[in-house]
Amino acid sequence: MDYEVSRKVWESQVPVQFTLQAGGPLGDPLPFYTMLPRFTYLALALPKALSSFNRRDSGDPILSEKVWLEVNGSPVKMYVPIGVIYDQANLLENDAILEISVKTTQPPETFQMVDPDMVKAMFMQTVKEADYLKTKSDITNSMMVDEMPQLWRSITNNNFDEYWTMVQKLMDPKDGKDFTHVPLRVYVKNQPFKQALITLKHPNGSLRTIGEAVSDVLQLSPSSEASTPTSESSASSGATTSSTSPNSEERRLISHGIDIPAHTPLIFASKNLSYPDNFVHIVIASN
Amino acid sequence: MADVVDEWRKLRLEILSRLNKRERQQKNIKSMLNNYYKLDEQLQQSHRSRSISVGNEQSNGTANDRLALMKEEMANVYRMKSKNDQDLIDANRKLSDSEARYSLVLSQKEKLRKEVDALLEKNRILEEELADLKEKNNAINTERVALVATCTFLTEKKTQLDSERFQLLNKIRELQEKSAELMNAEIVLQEERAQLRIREQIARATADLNLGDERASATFGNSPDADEFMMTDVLPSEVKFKMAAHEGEVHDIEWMSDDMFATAGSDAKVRVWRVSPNKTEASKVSTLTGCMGPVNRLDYDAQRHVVLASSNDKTCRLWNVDSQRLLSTFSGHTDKVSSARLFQSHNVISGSTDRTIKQWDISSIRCIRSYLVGSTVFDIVARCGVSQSSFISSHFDKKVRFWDSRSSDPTYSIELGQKVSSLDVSIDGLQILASSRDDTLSLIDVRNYGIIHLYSAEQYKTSCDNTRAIFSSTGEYVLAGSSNSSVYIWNTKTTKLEKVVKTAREDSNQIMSLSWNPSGRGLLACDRQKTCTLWR
Repeated sequence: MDYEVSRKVWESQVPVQFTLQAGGPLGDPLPFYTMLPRFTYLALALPKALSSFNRRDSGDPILSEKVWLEVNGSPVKMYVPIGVIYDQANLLENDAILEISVKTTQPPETFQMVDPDMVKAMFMQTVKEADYLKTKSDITNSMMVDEMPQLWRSITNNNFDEYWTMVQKLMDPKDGKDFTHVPLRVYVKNQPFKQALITLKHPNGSLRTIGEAVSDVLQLSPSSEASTPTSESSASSGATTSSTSPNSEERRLISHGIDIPAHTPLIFASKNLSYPDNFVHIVIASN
Repeated sequence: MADVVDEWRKLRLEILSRLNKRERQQKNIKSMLNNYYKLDEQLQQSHRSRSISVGNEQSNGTANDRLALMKEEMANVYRMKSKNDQDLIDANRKLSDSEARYSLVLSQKEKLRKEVDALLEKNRILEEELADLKEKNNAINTERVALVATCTFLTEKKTQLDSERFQLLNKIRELQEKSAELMNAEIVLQEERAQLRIREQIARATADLNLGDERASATFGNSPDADEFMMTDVLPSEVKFKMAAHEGEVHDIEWMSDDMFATAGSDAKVRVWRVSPNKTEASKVSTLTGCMGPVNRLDYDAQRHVVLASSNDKTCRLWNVDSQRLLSTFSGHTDKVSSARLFQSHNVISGSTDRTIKQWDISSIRCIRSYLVGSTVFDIVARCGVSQSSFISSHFDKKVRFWDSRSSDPTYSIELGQKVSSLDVSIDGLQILASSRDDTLSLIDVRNYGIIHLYSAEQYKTSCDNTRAIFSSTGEYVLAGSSNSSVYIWNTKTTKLEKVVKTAREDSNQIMSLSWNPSGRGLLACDRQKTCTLWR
């Protein structure tokens, strides 16, 4: 792994604005502004925002379990890291603030509120899924009981050093074997993410690039209306590699707020540009 | 594999570059959020204050207004403080400049004070000078008034004197006419006396001849010519007398007759003397006065019985010996007159140190001609040569010049070895004797300007510029006085030194002039020691 690139990725932040739309007796209070790490989750940031609103509102305190979140008119998927949500909002061009509306009305059916404990469980599951793709869960199965919680604490406490010691075990297997498959999720506008079984190398032995991998994922993953990542992942299991897409050069691959060069080796991206959940989240920018 | 490594390195750098760029962009947002937090905090405090004083909303507004006002005042105070600080700095700088200029002004003041003191001192001095000048001016004005009065008086006096002068001129003209008449009468008388004197001389010569019978008979055999026998010059053998003749140097001496002679001295007098019958002494007959300076040369006219004297007072004067009256004064030379001679029976010729020769008319007492020579004239002689209008002069420039009074230029000139101090003419007028300062005498033929003989001696020294050498009465001998109290006598024809006679034992007396008695016996010499000596 590359320490410098990993550190830069870890230190990336996004500006977020929480606006309460409760229609209280004194009107809505002023929005809450904050800078959030890209790897964190809205469920972890929401209590701070609600605390700010409650200080201003003289009415009943607003509880997190009674609100739902909306971005650009669409309910937020709480299991997606904030950095990915920001990339999906197409805000890179003008460095705008990610506006999240906090609503107190009845949430829609497509919204699933989660609390920090649920987010933690989902995080652990995602890490195990990634390890399964890479090493058939050999690493996670051999880890101590307290090591996985340590990984989660590094995220909640924003402690890179603690994170670094743990992530190296996940990214650099001791036996030196290559990853069997690469954990990769591709996000297309207004669609659930896409995921497929992608190997590091082509059948001829050459390294696969991130551009080629994205093209393969898009071709191999059919549209589905599955609402859980596990379901989507299961649906795509068993797929085989295919040829390169002819229009892959025209796409802009966004991750961590930057354009990822299409010719980046997939192995490099997997080890250095992954989120703490060990998945490479690629957002395809819409032109 | 190497290519793959390079590609990965480039890719890595590209990704890092993009991450850094995004980080920089987000810094601005962070700054904005920080400001928002501060403002929110202030707003929260304001809200808390408002909630505390909900009941006093009006008072809270007033407090806010006062706070704003106080903040504004504070801002103004800070601005004034800054301005005051700047003013203080400016004032300090101005103070430094002022102090520097003050020091400069003080030094200039000190300097100017010194200048003022100096000027005051000068002013005081000038005032004193002004006071002195005023006093002098007053004195001069007083003198001027006096002088104006004196001038007026003198002008009136001048008018009177002019009228008197006119009258005196008329009287002078009358007296001159009378004088001319008297001179004509005296001339007639002098001619008569001259004839008588000649007869007396002849008788005396005869008597002398009778007294010397033995010697006469002895010499008679050698010379068949009786006239030559009777007129022979006799060499001097003994001193008859020596006497003081003047109060100063005796410049010239001249026999006037057998027993009378005249002397000229530096005491501005001409004296006439008579030798006693026994030849042992001479008594003063008269003193001819009128000169105002030493008398240099004498000339005597036996027929007219007049004496002509040239003097250092720039004049030459003519006296009548018998009456002792001054007949004429010839003035015109601008320097002392060295020599003067009676010329052409009615004229006088004079030579002067002013390097001119002048010819004078005795009757009108005026200069009728001037000859410009260009050299000091020492001596001048007339009655020489074939023509009566000839005269000869000797000069400082070693030359002897021969003149004809009808011409302005010399007819001839001869150059000798040194300054020519004196001239003498032979009895027949055909030869002249010149004495020069090179201690020699030259015998010159007037007709062909040739030097016939030279006379010199081992001990002979010309005494001075106006020392005189002469012929004997018949021209048999030439003689000159020396500076060693001696008289040297040479034979004219043979140039043999015949005799040397001394006037004193010492050799310090300079003999100025000589004169040989016309009778042939008797030599007179005068010297600078106021004496004259007679030898026979």
